[in-house]
Amino acid sequence: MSSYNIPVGPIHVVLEEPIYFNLQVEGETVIGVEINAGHVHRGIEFLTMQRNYYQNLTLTERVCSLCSNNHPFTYCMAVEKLAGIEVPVRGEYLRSLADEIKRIASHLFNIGLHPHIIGFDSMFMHAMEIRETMQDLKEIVFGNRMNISVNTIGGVRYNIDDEQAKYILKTVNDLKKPLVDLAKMIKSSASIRRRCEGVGVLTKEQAIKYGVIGPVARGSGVPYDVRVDNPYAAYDKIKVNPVVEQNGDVYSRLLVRIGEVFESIRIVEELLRTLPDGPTEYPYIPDISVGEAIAKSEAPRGELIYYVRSNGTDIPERIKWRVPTYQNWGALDVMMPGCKIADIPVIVGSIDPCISCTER
Amino acid sequence: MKEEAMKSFSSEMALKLGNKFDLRWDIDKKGFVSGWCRLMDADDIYQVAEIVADFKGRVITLSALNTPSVLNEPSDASSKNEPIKLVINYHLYFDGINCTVTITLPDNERAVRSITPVLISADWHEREMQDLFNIKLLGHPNPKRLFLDKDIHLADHAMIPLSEAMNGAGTNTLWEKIMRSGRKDENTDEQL
Repeated sequence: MSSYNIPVGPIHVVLEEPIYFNLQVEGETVIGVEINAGHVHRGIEFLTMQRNYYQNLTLTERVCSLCSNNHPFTYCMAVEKLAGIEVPVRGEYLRSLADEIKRIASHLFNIGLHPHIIGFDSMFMHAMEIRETMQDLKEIVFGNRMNISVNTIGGVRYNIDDEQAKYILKTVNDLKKPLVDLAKMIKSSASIRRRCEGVGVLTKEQAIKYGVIGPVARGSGVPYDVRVDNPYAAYDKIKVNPVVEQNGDVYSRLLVRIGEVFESIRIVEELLRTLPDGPTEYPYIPDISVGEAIAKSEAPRGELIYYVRSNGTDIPERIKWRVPTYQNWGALDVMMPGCKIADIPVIVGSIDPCISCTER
Repeated sequence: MKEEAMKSFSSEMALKLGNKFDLRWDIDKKGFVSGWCRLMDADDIYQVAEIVADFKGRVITLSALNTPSVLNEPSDASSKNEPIKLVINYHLYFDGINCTVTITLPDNERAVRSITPVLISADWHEREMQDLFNIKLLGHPNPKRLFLDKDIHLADHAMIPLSEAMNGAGTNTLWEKIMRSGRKDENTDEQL
């Protein structure tokens, strides 16, 4: 059998964003993959070093649409470390609340994406219909469906009253039954299982070696979750149970995301039940002193890190961040060889890639 | 567990590098540990990578800095005339703790020993740094361009227009290039 190369991307029907795969195939089996990125490099990292600390809140929110909340959130935590200020407890709870609401919406998108990639579009529509409830919730509580813009240096810019808390609780509670049904349908659908089980396997050893994070790591039996291992915001007070699956295939990663939606709903309920009173943000505009700091958070796709270095002016000297997808691309070198050409899109979809994030 | 990891990392470092490093730990109220380590000799980063690999750790990210200001001195405009100094921060993670290891490249040197052979999680980060900061990697198993097209000439601190970085995609440039290339090797990616 002769081997040849096929290009996938940068523009391809199943890839929503541009990235280029150069695949070596033998017959119908993939034997090697080479990735070339950079098609949507927007230079945001450079831009953040031309703007002041407050302008960067708006800018970092626009790095990614689905994890838009985590970028300013983590950026703020790094800047707060530099300034040496503490966020009021209610502010921390509200940050975590916004984070979990975004996580539910983001995971539901990816859960819908899997059936879409394998051609089961009615299931995709069904998942997106459920997700729409969360989009409405975000629009009602935060005033926007994607960029909810809740974080500021020293706390949050929103507050909720009892009525809103009740509305959020009712919405997530109403979400449970359709979600249970959706999970049941996905688990019992022969076509989804045939296309996802045993495909794109990443073993635990390889997951540790490649340093993968988020649902990709947890689908391979690595229980790493920033909320548990390096707690931040309200996660030192709220217990998070990481959802872990052992098989390391596309299906395991899908199950992890389904499990995490339920876990996030539980966290939202617990946050609202134990929400303390008090101020939501630090009362003054803080001085950002000279120094460097890192902060991490668990974005829907995994660990997100921000490194901020200040030279005492109001413009940061260096900001660098690493998005979760960035680390997970490398693992495709292991997941893809041995799979069929038809499995490529679903494997790529299973790492929940965000290409604009990767290239910034 | 975190205290143990901090202790054993410090002792491993002392064993391998002697006193050629400077390490301090910051622990916040929630137990988030971030270590800050400075190496005297840039080549020692390879040995640090070996230690982290023994701990089954990984690289979170790299951040390269171009002539950073000295943190404990007030910065002034005259510092802009200083010779270029490249600093690389290696943000590492193992056993629940984060550690940033900093090296400063010797003057006028734009090359660093790659740690990808011991920590494969550094692969993309090192290649990105090579693309964007023009720092050559020594001993990297696959030192190809990651973000930039291979036809772009790399110069130190050059700004590259987006249209060039994207190889003219979205304009007529790409199509003209394809037409120019004729029919030979139509199927290979080399032409695209």
